[in-house]
Amino acid sequence: MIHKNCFRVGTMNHQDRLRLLQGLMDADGLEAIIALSNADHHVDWGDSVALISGVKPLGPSLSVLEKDGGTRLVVSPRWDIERARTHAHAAKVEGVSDLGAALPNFLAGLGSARRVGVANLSGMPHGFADSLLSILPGSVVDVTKLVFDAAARKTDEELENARKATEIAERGYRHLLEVARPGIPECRMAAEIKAITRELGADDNFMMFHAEGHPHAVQPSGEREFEAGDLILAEITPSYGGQFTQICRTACLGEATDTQHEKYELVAAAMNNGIGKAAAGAAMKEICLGIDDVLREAGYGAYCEPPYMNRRGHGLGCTSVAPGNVALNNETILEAGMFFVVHPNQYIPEVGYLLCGEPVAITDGAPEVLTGERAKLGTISI
Amino acid sequence: MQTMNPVLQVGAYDWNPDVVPAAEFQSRLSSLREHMLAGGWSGAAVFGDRPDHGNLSYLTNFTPRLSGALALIPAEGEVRILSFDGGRMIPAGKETTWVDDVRPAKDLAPAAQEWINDLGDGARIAAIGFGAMPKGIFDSLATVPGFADAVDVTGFLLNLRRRKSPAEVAAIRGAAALLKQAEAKIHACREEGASFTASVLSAETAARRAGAQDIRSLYSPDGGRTFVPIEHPTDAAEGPLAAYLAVRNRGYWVDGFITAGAAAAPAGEAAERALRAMIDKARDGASISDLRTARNSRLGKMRAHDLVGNGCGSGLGLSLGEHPELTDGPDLTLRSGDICSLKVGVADDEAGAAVISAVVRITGDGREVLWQPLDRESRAAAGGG
Repeated sequence: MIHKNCFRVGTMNHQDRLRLLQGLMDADGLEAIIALSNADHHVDWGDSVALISGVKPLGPSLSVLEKDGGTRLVVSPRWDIERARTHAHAAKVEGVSDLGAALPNFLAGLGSARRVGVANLSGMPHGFADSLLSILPGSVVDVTKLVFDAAARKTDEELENARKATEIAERGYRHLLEVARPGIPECRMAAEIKAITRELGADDNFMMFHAEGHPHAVQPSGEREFEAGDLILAEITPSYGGQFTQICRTACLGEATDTQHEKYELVAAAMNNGIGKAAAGAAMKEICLGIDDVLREAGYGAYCEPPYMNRRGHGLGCTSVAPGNVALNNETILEAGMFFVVHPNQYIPEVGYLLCGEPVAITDGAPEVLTGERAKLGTISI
Repeated sequence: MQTMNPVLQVGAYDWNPDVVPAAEFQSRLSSLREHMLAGGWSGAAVFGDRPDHGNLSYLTNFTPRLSGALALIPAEGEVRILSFDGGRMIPAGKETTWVDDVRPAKDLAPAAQEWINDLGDGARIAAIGFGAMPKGIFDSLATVPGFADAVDVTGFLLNLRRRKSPAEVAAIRGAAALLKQAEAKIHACREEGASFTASVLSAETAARRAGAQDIRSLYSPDGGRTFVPIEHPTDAAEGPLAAYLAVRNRGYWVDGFITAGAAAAPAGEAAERALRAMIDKARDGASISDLRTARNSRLGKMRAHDLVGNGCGSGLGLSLGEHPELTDGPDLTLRSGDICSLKVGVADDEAGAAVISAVVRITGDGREVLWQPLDRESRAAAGGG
């Protein structure tokens, strides 16, 4: 649970977030939080070490936040320590070659702690995780959700990074429209967009990219070659400064049919109606309802559930977890500073699966749509 | 060498029987099954995740895009893959493997129990790659009888992976060719005055456009003393550029250190001499201590670079660091068929910093160098300085 109204809207920084976490620790009787990372950087799980320390780990790492606000960071491999020192918000930074071997020494200071929170324990190699649990003498609480709930509202710096990431995403999409041609394997095009967005400043890109004449879902790219008439589905998700954004776009390779245009406009209208519900104080589910209302009114009510759609959006930033999915069961009350993607991403029987989505930040007033141009069906001359 | 893991594997991962044919996978499976028979194991479970799925891919070619997967291999019968990538990823996952039975691993324990039941009473399980298994998955599997007391046989498979088949060597040659292209791009960019990060990013793009499945990089902002991933492009361009590139082709990796411009003297010259000495020494039967002695004789008292430490590199293949690990551990002996990345690094207050490497294949009568940094003449021919 996030403590509301802790800060003035739009002026959150990293220290504010750590203080927010300290408040949550105090409320839960926690003497420290140990954030863990095995550096696999799963977009759905997030990296709690990066969140607390400001350093995206190269190898297995941990970060400690103590109840008095003290912070420590241990990174591996050892040679990554200078980068860690340069970027870390932590007071003490160490580099080790083997995080597991370093645990006893590093955690010696927590030896008397009666109650410690641990984030991302289940994602760590089981041997390491069990060693950690054997070292901690007091009770251990899984605080993964608590930590990432604290990331639901973004800092000013994170939002600025998200804006840059979005600009990169849009440029990546424009590049796709320029270079896509029949005969190019979809995985080559995905790699091309990834490479271009890297050159534009992205540190990573979750590139779900798929094409078919009548697609049923978006999935990772394979080696199928583009054909005239394909609908290219692109979930372009670059990260800048550790902040992932996402734009969802659909482009037709060749002239789109009137039906394709009509149905895409419907899905875009549904998205825009959903975005119109995105306001501080509203529940996340209202955005989903706003999308579904338009589709139901158009006669697609039976398609407003899996497998014809997955979710209507999800959190963005360092993870897709917070503030949760744009879904009917998400009662989260939106707050200024929250950042997520609204994407109907809907199967329409006449034309197939259509990707359509924009990154949105909640403000005191109207939501900020980070893209310069909202989704419309792209067409690629061939 | 550790690089930043991407959140999703983007590239050409579909199984292509022209690259590694089905018969080769069957041969690998047969070897494992013979080992299982000798050990009395009725099934083997092989875990791989996105950062390292070498064991999994060796047997199935399956490539996890987002999470990980578990291959369930009975002593007799069909292989099954449980993918943690999620339901909508299954069709794409199926394209990466010859295995027909690929399922989502959403309900892991019941799925594992079903497989154990099929193996019959008292099934004994051999485990491969479980050391890297996340606790959440391990704890779920451990509730299933047979998995809780599975015996680790990872070492057997790692050993099997050492000797590369002709198909594997061809894939690695392809990766080495891509690395060479990327290297040439770095030199050309630097010749044109591009910044460190722009040069490395251009090399990444060049490799991807040439068909690389993946490319990872590190670069040095300080002439080779430290190496970092590119998190933001910068304008820094003064002095030599030292970079590390790892390139993947059809599942197989090669890597190398590249210096564009003159490396610090005398560290650079000493590192080059040490690498040549190690290459000369690398042959069937040579030990890691042989390599180390050859290297140390050229480096004298220069301090080793933290990236390399006292190690001499590692094996290459489906993983960036696989057997033989040329580290401080047991004094392994090189064998014909090994493919290794030999690395030398110096970071010395007086001598300066330099890291250099080469990829070699150990043959029956010596070694074949698959990749080494371009010499000055070749760089000039490639358009760089």
